[in-house]
Amino acid sequence: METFPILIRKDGMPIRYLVVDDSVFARKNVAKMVEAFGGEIVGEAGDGCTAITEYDRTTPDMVLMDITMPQMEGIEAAERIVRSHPNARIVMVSSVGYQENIVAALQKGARHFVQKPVKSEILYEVIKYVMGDDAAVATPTAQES
Amino acid sequence: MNFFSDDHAAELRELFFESATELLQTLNEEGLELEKRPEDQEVLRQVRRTVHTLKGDSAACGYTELSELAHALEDVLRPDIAAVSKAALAEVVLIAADTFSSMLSAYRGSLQPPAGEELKEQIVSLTKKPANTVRYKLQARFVWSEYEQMVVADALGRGETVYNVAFSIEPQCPMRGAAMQLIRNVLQDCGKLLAVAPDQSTLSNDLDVVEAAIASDNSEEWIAKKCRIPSVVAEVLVQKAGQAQEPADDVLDIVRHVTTPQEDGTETVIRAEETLVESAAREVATPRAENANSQIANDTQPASFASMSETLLRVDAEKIDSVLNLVGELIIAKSMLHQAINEFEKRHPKDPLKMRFSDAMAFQARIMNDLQKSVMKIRMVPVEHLFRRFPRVVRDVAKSCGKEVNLVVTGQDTDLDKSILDMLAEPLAHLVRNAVDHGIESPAERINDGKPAQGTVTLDAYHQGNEIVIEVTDDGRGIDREKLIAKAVERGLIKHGDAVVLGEIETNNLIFHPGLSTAQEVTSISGRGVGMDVVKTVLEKLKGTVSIRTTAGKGTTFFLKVPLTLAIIKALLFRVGDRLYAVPLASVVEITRTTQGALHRVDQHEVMQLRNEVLALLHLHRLEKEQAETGKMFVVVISTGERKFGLVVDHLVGEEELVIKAMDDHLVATDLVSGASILGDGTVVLILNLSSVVAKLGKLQMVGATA
Repeated sequence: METFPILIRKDGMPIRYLVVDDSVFARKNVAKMVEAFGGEIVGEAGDGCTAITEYDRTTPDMVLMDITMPQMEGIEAAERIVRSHPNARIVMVSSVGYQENIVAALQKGARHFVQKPVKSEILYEVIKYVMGDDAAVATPTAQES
Repeated sequence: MNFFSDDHAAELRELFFESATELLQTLNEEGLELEKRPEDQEVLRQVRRTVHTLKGDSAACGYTELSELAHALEDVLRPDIAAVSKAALAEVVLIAADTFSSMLSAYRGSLQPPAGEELKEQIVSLTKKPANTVRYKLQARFVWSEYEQMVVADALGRGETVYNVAFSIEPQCPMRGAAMQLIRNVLQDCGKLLAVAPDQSTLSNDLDVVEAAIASDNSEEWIAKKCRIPSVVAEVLVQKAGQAQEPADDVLDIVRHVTTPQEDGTETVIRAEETLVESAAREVATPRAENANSQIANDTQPASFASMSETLLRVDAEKIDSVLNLVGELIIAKSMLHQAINEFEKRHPKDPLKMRFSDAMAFQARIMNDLQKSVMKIRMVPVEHLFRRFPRVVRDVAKSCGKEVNLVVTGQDTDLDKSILDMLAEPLAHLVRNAVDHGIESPAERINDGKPAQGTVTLDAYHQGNEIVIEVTDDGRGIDREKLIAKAVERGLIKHGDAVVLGEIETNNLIFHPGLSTAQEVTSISGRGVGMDVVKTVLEKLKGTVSIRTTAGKGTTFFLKVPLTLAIIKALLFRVGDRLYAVPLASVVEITRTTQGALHRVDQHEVMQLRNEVLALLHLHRLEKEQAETGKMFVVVISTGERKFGLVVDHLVGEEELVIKAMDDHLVATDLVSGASILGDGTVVLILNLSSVVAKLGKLQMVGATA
């Protein structure tokens, strides 16, 4: 099992994530990964509508959003979240076949995209990139996973 | 790579298999829907979403063979292909569902999964022709325009710092278009985007270099850091643009790079492709518009399986069984207590404690009842789980024998014990296949007979007392009695003379005899003559019955009756000699009395007249080789399937709820007894297996049982 240096927010707290995917399996999978990066899952949603309410409730640092979901697709959810929270960091998670949707999501304000199946090392880099200056690698004292 | 600890992996895998099975079922249903409406974009979207989820889940689980196949399939689930291929696409989806399913079972057993060659070929054959339409053409127009050059020069002239940024795109990044968009987003974050090549609308897969010019107040390092986008950009080059320079050389390189792969096409080909691109573009445009509508429509749909499943609890069936067993013991304990209290009441009729005992008893009985029901309910699943696989079965069989068949399913909400349901799957599938293959006539034949060309097979389930009845009905040609008898005589199953005295029910029951099929020829679907007796055997094992009602030219109905549960039955207890026996109350029609004088003999059968019916009688004490000497006797009228007969018994004991204790085969050397139970006073009661009793005692050679 790969280990990663733990990522924390500038204020030293864990990065808080909202994971959105209609597949429970995919959610758990991604959740396990970000937890290994030292993150904290503050919310999960199985569709776009829930994602919006969960965002409002938890105001996470980072949203990992599947692009194809029932009821409301990831693009629309991303758009609505960004509209009311312009600083929201949303990373779209999807497969190769949904390129147009990713492009649309990026145009609507998503910050990045990760291809399914999600590889932990890529997700790690993407999160690090999207968090930018607001996150840092924790000093190795607390590093254990 | 295994990202999880072993514990976790196992748990996730279990979750994966569970949801994958559900997904495959959905895929089957959607495939059928797609076959009906190949042009429906919404259906196609649903199929695609299902395949997509399956792909994602299996890839995350490390099942690459499955995810790659799913990926290949997902790629062809496009409106343009659907429009060209029509029903062929649905066929591929259904084949895929089968292939995925066999792969899943291989994975589950940790075996090498099948390669799915057939599916691959099918997918390739789908893409062969339309492949031309998806190429994007004429990227030559992405030259930096004069205007863009002017904008750069203008910015420099205003004293702004202009950077030329070049990105080389990660070779593994398959979503070039998305990469392009992300790069644009990042560039805009860095500063003012002056020019970018290629232009934004590109979704080309040939693209691997992007160049841009931005005006920015940020430092070169900052921009370089920002532009090093993980998983998208492999290398970044940031250069401060000195003077208004001609980037023409670089641009030409890019243009050349982008266009080379297409240059081998001749002029005419390009023109033809242009029209194709146009029509493809139109098709791409429509689903976008429909997205908006469908999202509204989707709002009214129930939550998907995935979002519901978290409230479900997966429990090992064995655990529930052991609870059920304990409940069974409790019921025995209850009747012990009951008897003790009865005894007490007899001895101390004046004791005031009597009332308190009976109150407590009533209270306990009620709770016991509820407890038993709740535990039973845990094991119950709606019949729908069983029924939902049949649309596919009917479609496949109908297709392979050139018939048009519509499947109507009702009563799918009826609950049934899970273990019974599982055992019923095979016989029911057999009956449904038979109904389509043998029952329903060919369209031409049907029209000749004045029936609609499309045949109908109906599946129905409902409660009847303590039993569940599942009906399989077809409106086909019915069972040909004469043919059936002729065949039975030919195979030596019955004697020629016997055929005349056979009742309708007995004739129909011939069909369950091993090695008898009335189909003219053996097909791949049915007609090997090994099926119907299996149906009967399974039903007997379940303490159920199967019966037939058929009308020549109108159709056939099979009635499968099974008990609600296998664990506890309501039974009628009686004594023969000094033994205590029980029969399931559900099979008891009535109880009557008769005298030795009212009995007659017909054909070696002892019979009696019951109102205006003649009832064959069975003497249980003959089982024990004892002689009856009573003048008056009780007759318990029993029905198994559609047959009725009278069971002559010595004493009736009463009704009781019996907890069936399975007996291992080596304990009981007869199939006449299907189980045993213990009463409150410790007496052991034997539960009769009625169909074997009939076969053994009645000497009715061909009732079709295992005699």
